[in-house]
Amino acid sequence: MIQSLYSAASGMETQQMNLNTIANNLANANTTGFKRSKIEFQDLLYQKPRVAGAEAGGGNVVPTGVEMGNGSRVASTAKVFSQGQLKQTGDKFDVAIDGDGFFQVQRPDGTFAYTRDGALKVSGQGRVTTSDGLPVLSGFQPIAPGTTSVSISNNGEVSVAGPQGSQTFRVQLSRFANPAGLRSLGGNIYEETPASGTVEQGNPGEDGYGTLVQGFLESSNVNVVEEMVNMIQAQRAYEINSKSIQASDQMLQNIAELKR
Amino acid sequence: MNIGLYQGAASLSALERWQEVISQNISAASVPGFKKTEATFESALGGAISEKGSRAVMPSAVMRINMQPGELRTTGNEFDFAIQGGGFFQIQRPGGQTGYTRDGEFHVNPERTLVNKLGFPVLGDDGPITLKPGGGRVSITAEGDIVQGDTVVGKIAVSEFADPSTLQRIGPGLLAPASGNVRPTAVERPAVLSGTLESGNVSALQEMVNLVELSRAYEASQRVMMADDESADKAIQALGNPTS
Repeated sequence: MIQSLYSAASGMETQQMNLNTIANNLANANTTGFKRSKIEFQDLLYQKPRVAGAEAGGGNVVPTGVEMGNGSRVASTAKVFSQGQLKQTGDKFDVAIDGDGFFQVQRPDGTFAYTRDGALKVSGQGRVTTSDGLPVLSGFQPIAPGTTSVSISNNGEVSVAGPQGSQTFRVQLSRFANPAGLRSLGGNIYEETPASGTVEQGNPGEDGYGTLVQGFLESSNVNVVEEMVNMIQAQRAYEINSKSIQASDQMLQNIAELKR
Repeated sequence: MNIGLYQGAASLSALERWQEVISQNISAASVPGFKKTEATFESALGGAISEKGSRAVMPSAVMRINMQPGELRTTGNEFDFAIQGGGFFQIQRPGGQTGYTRDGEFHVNPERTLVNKLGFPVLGDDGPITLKPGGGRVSITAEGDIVQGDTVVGKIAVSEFADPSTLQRIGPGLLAPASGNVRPTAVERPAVLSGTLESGNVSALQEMVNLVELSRAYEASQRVMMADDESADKAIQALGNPTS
């Protein structure tokens, strides 16, 4: 009886988490390079006061037992790394990744993080950074002040020309066996974890790595209609779980009424 | 004399089991591939009512897993799979035993092996299925071959049981036969869809109807007990006071 209260409560809690995830996806529908999260549910362990297959006498076995579940839980909120739409901006430092891959950035504490947000900036010292000012590594060389033209090819060849002459270099992309296992650090950057696998570096356009597209940004991969449908479902599921709690409560009240 | 009281109590306790089942079903309705539990009641023999040999029966709850397929829903995610028709995916548990599931919400681990939510490998016809680095998107053919880009990397194993409702739950999302004598048969051409998940087979309407029915039955049993109590009270008051 009390267990049914808890399993329904766990159902409400998972639906609350579901709504949190939906709200975060919707809030970031316009965030460059944002990858939506996908919530995954699981049922909890079962208690078995009477086990199916147990001896029932005379060589017979109990055909079906008694199994009582403990409710449900959120197994994971995995990021879905499907491609977002590419949106033309015309800015020469906007570089979208079409396919697998991340830019490697350096965090203030010296550790590496990874991003798909290609809205690059150039700092006063000529360093290529993210919108938050984190230096972008991935083979980017400093861009000299007064540079007039920057051209980035699909396979990562960068040609920079200016009054101090021209230079070329090649940028690389990083990828992971299981990008869904990366840890989100906020600010559009991700960190390697044991679940993601170790980082692999390679040239854009080769060996399954994505290509670079200059003058474009990757939109988020949030599908607003899908999120709205999920929201309706989450709300209803929440409501139904609450009815189950009310019914359990009513039953407990009935028990209390037994004693006059 | 007060066997009715015990029958009422047994009925309350059986109905509580039912309520636990309903709570669990509703709670897990969002779990892909979840199969709802159904409670039915059997009669257990109680003590003798009269000397002529009629005996009281008590209700007791038994449960079985309802194996009806859930609705298929398109997610478009690369590692979401659903079986159309019968059969189960096979999951290799840490002890080496196989677990069976209809939940095809899979992932890849750092070694690029296809795993389920708990990180246990999903079995193909030749053991776990491992993808190639940079091999492109994964899809599945009508024969169950897993294709990455244009290379076949394995064939997903789907197996069937003669009577799947006798399977037991052995942990989150996993089922296994209750005895080692029950062996599954492999499905030759499993109809597995990618980018699709099977929803739980819980019907909110059905569970709400059950909840109403159960609440009323519970109330009725409670009234029976109270009436029993009342008649005992009257008997005690009347017979225990001979002077009046």
